[in-house]
Amino acid sequence: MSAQPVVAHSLSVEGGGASLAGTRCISCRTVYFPQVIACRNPVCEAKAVEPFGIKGSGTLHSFTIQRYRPPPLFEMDPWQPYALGLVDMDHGVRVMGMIDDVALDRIEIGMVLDLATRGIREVDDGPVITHVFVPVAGAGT
Amino acid sequence: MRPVYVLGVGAHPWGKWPDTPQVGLAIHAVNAALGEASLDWRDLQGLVAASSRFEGGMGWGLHANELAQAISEHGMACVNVGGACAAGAVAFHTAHMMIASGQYDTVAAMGAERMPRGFISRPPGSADDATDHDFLRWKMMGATNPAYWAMEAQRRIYEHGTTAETLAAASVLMRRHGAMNPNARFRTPSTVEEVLASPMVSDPLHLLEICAVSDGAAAVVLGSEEQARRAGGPMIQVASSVIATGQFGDPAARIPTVGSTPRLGVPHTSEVVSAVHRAWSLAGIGAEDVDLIEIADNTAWHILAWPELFGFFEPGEGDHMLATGQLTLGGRLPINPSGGFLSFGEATTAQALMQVCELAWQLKGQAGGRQVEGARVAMSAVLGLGANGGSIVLKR
Ligand SMILES: [Zn+2]
Repeated sequence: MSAQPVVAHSLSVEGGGASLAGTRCISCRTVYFPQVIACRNPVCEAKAVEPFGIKGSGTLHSFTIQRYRPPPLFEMDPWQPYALGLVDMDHGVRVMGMIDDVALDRIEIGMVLDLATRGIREVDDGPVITHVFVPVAGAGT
Repeated sequence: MRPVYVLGVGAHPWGKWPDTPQVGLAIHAVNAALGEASLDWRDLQGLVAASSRFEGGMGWGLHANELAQAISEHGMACVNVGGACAAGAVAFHTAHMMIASGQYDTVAAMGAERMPRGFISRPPGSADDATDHDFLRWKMMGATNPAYWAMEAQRRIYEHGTTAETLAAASVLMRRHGAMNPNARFRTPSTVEEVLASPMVSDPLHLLEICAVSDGAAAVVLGSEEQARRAGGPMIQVASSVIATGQFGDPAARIPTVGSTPRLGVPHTSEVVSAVHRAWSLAGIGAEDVDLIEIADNTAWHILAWPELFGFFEPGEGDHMLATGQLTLGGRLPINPSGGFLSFGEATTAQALMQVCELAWQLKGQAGGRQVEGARVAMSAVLGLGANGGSIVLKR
């Protein structure tokens, strides 16, 4: 039994913390998600990049509740309406993902959220996981 | 560059037309535009097609070549351009430059689309790829197009206190305009109560605050000054046409991205803002000279936010402008007298050319009940997937 990411090589769980597979520019330090082959900052001359794990917490920029079931490529099972958010992480990268572990009517712009993982369905080997943002432990409800 | 004029415009009404092939919609629209221009197919020296991936015999969307082979094999130049929902503006810009160069005297730009039902999903046959935003947004989080617009609307509520009633009223305004347009698909006026009672799709956006998808086609025939005098009628000149792409650091929640790098000081929706400002500059005009604007209102949020982004109003001022009637006929800046995407439903590649049809009809005084009185300068602004922006200014 082991958790497997819904998209291979996109997400890892090491030492208890979730980490998204991103890229960082070696010269201007811009962080990208998902991974890129070159830095697209026009003032950056070197353009060379290296793998970079995006982890930790961030601030909720905005969110929505998805009330209709998305097309079948999204395999959440069982399905129910869920929140999606844009979270400003360290290093100036804004990442989109599901918001979990908080009532849909308690989500507020500006709240601090941790990058984490959750299962969206079960297969024989265990849960299929994706990245989510959850309220920082102990921050209240 | 020499001056370029609109010789004629035409459209196939928007709707769901399962029995009319895409080529048939396109030919209908070009025939109508040629009729206004008093030209025959054999008189066209060039045809630029706004091409997309949704449908098309050769798998890459409708090409100009297919029209030539279907209706008139006279050797004209065929150009096929992409640009998603902005493809029509790219096609117009290409046709404009072909005439302006002096090498061609008559060129048509055309877009025709038959859209799949429901949420616009991932194109069939796309490979799984952990670096592809579009794959990740569907696979990792099921993010639909309305979810992106909804997050912009939610942020506006947070920053400016926009109310649910104001968002609904923006939608109602579009339906009121659309009710007067025979080419619009949704021509029944609505009320704020009806909009708010429609199903919540992606908070805070209700079904009636989000554009549907439709089938439709639009075409514009451009030509030289000599051609415009031959065609007769008021001289409608292309004051400018501009296409642009996004700038690094743009804070917009841009479909289909799942990760972005917002930076302070970079304009929101920079691909469209850049196009609009350059279009003003090339036309030698400013915001105060614009008599009407056609914008890509994928949702009610766009009606409030886009004029602010372009600099017509201060941030947050759009709500008040809507409430005081400044965005309709007789107001300071009539937005989408055509009824906009909310009354048409989006037929991607055709949409930006439908905008130009409306600009031309308004400037010629042929817009019937939705006529902006005395319009002399009319402009469009459109956004397409892949950070494509386009803006066109016509003047009489
Ligand atoms: Zn760089």
